[in-house]
Amino acid sequence: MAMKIKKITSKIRNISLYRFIVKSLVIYSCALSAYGDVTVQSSRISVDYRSALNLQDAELDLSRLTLSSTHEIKLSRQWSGQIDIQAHTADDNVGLGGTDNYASANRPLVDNSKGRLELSRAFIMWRKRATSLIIGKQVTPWGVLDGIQVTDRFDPVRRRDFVFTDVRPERIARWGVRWRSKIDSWSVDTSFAFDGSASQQAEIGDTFFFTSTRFTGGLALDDVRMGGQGIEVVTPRPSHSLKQSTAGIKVAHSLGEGDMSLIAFRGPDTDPILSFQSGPIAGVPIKLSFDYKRRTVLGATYDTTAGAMILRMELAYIPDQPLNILAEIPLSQDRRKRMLAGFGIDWPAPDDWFVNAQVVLDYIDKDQLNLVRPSTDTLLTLRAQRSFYNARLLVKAELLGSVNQGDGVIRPVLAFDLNDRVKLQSGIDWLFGDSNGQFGQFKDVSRLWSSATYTF
Amino acid sequence: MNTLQNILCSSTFLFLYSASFGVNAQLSAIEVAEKVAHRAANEGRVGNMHFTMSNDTGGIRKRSALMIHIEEQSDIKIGIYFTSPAAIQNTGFLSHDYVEGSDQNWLYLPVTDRVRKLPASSRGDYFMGTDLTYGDIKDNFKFALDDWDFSLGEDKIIDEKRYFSLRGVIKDEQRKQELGYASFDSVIDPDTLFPVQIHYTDADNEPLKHTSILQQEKVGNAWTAIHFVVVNLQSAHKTEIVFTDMRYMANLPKGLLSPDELGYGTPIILGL
Repeated sequence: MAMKIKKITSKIRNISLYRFIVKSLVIYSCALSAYGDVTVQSSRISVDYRSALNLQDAELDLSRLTLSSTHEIKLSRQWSGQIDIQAHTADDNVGLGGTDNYASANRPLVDNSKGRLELSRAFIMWRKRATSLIIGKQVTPWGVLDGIQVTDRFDPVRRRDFVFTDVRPERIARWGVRWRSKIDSWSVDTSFAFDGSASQQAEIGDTFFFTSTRFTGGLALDDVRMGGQGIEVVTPRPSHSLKQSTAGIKVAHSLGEGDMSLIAFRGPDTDPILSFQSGPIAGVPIKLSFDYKRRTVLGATYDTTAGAMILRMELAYIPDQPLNILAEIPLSQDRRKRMLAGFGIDWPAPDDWFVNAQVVLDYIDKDQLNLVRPSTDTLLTLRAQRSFYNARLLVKAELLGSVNQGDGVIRPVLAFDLNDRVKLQSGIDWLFGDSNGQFGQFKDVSRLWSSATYTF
Repeated sequence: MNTLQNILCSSTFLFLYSASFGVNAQLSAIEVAEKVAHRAANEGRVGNMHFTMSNDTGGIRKRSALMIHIEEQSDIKIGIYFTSPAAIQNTGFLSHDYVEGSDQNWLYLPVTDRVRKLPASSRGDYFMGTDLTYGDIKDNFKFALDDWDFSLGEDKIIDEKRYFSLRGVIKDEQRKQELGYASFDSVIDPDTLFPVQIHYTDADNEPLKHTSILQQEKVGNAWTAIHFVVVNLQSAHKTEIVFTDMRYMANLPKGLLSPDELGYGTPIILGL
């Protein structure tokens, strides 16, 4: 009973907090509008239907309809705002992903097994020349590499579709404040997210729920299930407290022919480590907890032109990376130094082909510990693309893979602009490698996918 | 007396004949090319660009964008911010062309939330699916003196007005590959020194595309093409560009055309 009351009051508090924030933004916007002309700068609505057939059994794995809208509003000469709303409905094996690890004010407005309505961005911005202040639900996209996170770890991201999103990473906005300015020739960017929301994961039973032991703390979940016990994932609800906030700073400056930046931020890791909430008891599902522990990220980026090419580099140092380790007690946890280095190149190849290649080294100083993953991971991404018919047709092929574990995914894609409003896409996500690898774990769900997007 | 009259008449005739050519009778091909290349430029101009692209099957695509063009001591900065269609709204492209140092390009895609440095485009690469190359956009209908060997053809008369015929042949193989052109034939307005027609051949000397400048206007100090059409003769694809609200703006904010600014989306220019 006490638990029920606690749940109800928590819900009320959460709703109240959410409503308070939204109401404050609306009231403030209205107040500002009294001092200037409020105009809609731009509006965009898109409807996207996406489906995928499993290549093994031809089953419809993905069937999702998404409605997105973006509205940019000019409130006055120096104030503007943006509201993005997203609605999804799906009846498939991929699912819509979990939201248990979203902080209260970040949770969807409507959320059930078949549909979801979310406020994906909502902020107001004050700008004067090179200085801006953004208050509200927003993202902090740092880093220079494409779709691979070395220093770009401030924002939580969606993983319900694994890495198979049109834009990678697909960021989840959080409530916070961001201030940017220029001091002499230095660009300064500070961000504070008072929002403990973490990366969205697929739910148990969904297509892209991870089974690789590198993500399950060394636990082979299938073995647990075969032992006759169910598994439940429990996530302590993140809050908007200081303890669950993320704060960071980035300073940037030109360096030679290129641009460099230095980054530092601290906050809960957006990816979980696992612990037992309750141990194996006969007849009772095992409860696993997803924990999001605080860590510090120090990083640097550099990108430069080199003739016709672009070279990009990122370095990240995490002195206190939380991780699961293999020990006598399952799902043991520890902290270790972690270093990541990423290099990328953009090359305009002959015959109008564009090639992007990136490699990331991810090293954990294991000392005497047994890790659930290799001490050093080497990831490779390779993309080649060319457009035809005056950029109406785009042909693209991508390889993402783990060099040290020999698993990966090959993704050929065709994207066609039928007209100014309709875009059609189709592709194959073909996964290969060891079934315990980060890519190979999903090799049985290799698929043929297609999408149609109408934007107006 | 008759002889004197004859001499006077002949002289008058010759004088008038020369005058009707304007400066042509006295200028060489390189001099005409230099006048075109050194045509007055604006420190800054902004306008709305409207693209209509049509293919050989009748398919039409339309784009609108805000264009900002700044020249700072021969360094050229161009910002193009798409305002329609909705799918590419707020997509921004920024180009910095330096007299000394490497040229740089950036692209902002709202869906990625990031400004991305682009490989310095070959001037012969086509811009965003149009029939204009990056070189066409940056050159502003001037022919770089370092790229071409110029010659003058017979004057063209259009609607009773006499125009220069300026021809160019690319100087070397490297430039040919970079620009994508082997030669051009142009018709130059002697009053504005602006081309009104340009016919390009490709690297194999085959007819490639034809540009017709249908309307020019003086914006600030400088003649600017307001309405022009580019037809790709090989693919039968056509791009028509019309500028509206084009205006001279000498004191655009410093840093307006910078990668940091690009990430804020389409800038707001009062009156546009």
